[in-house]
Amino acid sequence: MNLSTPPDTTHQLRLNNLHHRFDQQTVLSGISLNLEAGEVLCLVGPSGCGKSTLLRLIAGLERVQTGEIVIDNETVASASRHQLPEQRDIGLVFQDFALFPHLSVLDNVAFGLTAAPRTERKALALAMLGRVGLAERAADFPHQLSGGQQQRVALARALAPRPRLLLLDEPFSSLDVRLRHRMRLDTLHLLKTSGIGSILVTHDPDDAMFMADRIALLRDGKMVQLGTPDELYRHPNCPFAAEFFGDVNRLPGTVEEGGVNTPFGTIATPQLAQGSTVDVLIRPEAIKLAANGLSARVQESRSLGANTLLGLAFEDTSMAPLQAQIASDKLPATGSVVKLELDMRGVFVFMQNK
Amino acid sequence: MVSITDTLFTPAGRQSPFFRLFGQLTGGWLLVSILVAALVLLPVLSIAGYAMQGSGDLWPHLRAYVLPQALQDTAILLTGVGTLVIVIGTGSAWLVTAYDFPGRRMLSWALLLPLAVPTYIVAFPYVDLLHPIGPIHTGLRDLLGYTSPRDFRLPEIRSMGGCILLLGLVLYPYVYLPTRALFMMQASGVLEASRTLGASPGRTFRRIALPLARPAIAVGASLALMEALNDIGAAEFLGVRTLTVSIYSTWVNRGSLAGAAQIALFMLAIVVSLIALERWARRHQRYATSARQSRMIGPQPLRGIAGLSLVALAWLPVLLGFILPTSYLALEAVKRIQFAGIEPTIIRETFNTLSIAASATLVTTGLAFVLAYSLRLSHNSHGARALVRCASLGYAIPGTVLAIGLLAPLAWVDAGLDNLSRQVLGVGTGLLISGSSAALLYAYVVRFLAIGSGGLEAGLSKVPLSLDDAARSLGANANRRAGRIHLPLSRPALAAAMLLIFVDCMKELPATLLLRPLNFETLATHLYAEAARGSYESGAVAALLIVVAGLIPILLLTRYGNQKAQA
Repeated sequence: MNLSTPPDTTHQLRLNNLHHRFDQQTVLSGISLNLEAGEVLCLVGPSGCGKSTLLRLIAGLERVQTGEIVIDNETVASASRHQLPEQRDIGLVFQDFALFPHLSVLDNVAFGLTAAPRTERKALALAMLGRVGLAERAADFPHQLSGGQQQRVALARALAPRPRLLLLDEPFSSLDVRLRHRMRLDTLHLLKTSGIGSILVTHDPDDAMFMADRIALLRDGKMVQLGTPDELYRHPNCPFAAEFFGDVNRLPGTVEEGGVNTPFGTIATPQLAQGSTVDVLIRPEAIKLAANGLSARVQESRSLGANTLLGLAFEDTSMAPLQAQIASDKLPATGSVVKLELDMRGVFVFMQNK
Repeated sequence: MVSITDTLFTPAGRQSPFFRLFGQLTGGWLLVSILVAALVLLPVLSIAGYAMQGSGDLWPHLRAYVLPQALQDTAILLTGVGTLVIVIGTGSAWLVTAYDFPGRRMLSWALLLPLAVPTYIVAFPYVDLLHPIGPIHTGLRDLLGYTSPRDFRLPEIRSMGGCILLLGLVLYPYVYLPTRALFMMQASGVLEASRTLGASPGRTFRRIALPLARPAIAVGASLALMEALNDIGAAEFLGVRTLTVSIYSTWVNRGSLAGAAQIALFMLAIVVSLIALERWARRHQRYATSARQSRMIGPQPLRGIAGLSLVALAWLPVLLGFILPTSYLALEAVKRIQFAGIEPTIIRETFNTLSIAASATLVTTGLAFVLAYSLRLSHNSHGARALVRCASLGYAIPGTVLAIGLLAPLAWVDAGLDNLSRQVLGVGTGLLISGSSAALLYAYVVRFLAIGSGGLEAGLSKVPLSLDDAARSLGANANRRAGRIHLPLSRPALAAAMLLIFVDCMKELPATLLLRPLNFETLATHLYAEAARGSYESGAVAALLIVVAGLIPILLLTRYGNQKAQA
């Protein structure tokens, strides 16, 4: 995933310290981030973490209570200012697509082209439909299209007026899995070739990992971590971040003399205080089969296709079974004894929750 | 770019009270909504104002002679009609949902037919039919073996009792319709449970169905009573001096607007208490329309003599409330046409009726759309909801009260315009507004706005909010969204509302009598005039036309209702 930030462009979007409350409940707390032109940023988090609210604030569908939203160096929203959504020049793709049922596909795409002269609108809309591969369905109506096709029309409609920013709210959640993978690829390609900054909201970590140049992980209205997918996967800053992007094995332990003892050996933890209780989180793919190492017996083996999940039990019965993930071509038999070693890139040590 | 909403925030950043009240509703939409609400409130305020002025010499007379009698008569009428519509409406609703018998489905929609007969039409067929030497009496006397009218007479229909009976017979559908719907939809599971627990249908009805149906009964009964209050044809014709009749005669015969306004104030008080009563009866209602499919409760078969007589009893309201009066009208109309052909006056009156109804429908629907759309724009804010509720109050104001409330302000406006044009143009405009049909239009709009805004609100609620957001993100402002998205998508609701308003305008009598321009007769006023003269057969053609018009919404209701049940 390519992420390089052009060195001499100003941020296209800047969010400064946004706070938001609905009635008595805090929905967003101190959210700040930047977006560069041409960058794809994914907002992820569990349901209710505030990501859709954030999107609506950027689009102008909700008013900012505290904080600032700056687009292309112009403050479009703050506590004392609110530019209407109609004027913000931001494209929106909705979870339910929100296509106008009484207008044809072509008229839907042409809806936002009021800036263009009337004679050119149809041609521009047709060209946009061509880019998403639906030019021949221009005269059809939304209900005649499949879910994937409707999604493409929604994208075309949002992109046709050449907005400066594109916001997508769970655009793939109503599609089935196979279709979703294909749509992700096509959509990413479209976003990159259009060159505008986009923010994609999703609750699916896989979508985020696939599509994002950077990921912002939210929880209960706060930003937990912001970084590239690689950073979030390999350097999570808390157990929540680690667990969000993949299953982890959890080993409790105590810091003694600058390290934590695990059956795999001692892991050095120089920054943590003596005696603190910690959780050692180990990604399944970080447990590798080796010639020498910790002995374990394969309790069960479940194939996931390219990879296989092994359930491993240990002689020391006080230790809970672990899950390991290995390539399917090296399958050990169930019941056999194997030797394990850790790939430290997939091991994280965190203080236990207060 | 600076936007108009920048001004809605105080420098401290807190939301202004205006924004809290009205949300994002600004500009033209807000203005028109406020204007409409003000227009509806105007008659009420004017009545209050005029009444407070006092009618001078007339007041003691009113207080001593007119008011007590009118209040008493109205109270008795309302109590009687209320009881009757509840009994007939609830009983028949229960019968067609809880029991099964041949012809049940037909009876189920036939029970709606009396809705097509306005209150001022139901009276004179019966007066004619029940004439001492009319068909019914002669038939009965032959049956019972009497020869002279003096030997046997049915109780006089031209009485309070007769009025209560006849009004009850045409107004019970207001209770029947919602109660039947409630029995069929929401209460079905509970009623089935009661039956499986061993309760007889009678016990189920008393202990479960009736309490559950209370909100529907309350709404229906209050609507029926408002119609009874509104009526002027039946009451006057049958010799019952209700408040409406008193208002009418105080203005027409005594020429005292203030006196009429004082009586009107009493009527408004009754209306307010009716609305309050309805709200109180609905107080614990939870709008739990389950999204699951509604199950029709399994009807029990009706057998034996008892069953048969129950069914016959259930057909009685249909017979008496619709079949008998309409057949009489049809026969008389045919006789009349054979005798005198189609009079040109009828054609002119039909044209008048249709044209005023059409223009009122267009204006009312347009304003109703503005109200419903403003509500949506402001995301259902308190302020907008208050405006819509205010503007919808018109349906509760009886026609005569409305007319009285409009006479004074409109005359005032006319006087002002007249003066102004004399000064500016040197020529007077006379009674520009109250002399034209504009006053009548105003009254229709006030009275029927609620139908429009209610129907349109329901229609707009089917348009998902994400469409609004999508359109905004594509640069469409409120006007463009209304024209290109909400108006096209609410077409079915629009059409339904327009139809209902049109038919109601055609049927309207009390306000039309008082506000119409000179020599402007509608079918309804023609009817009233003929009845007053005693030559009611001459009005049969007009009456038949009105009833036929009134059948159209019922037909659509049954067809739409069937589709819903099948879905």
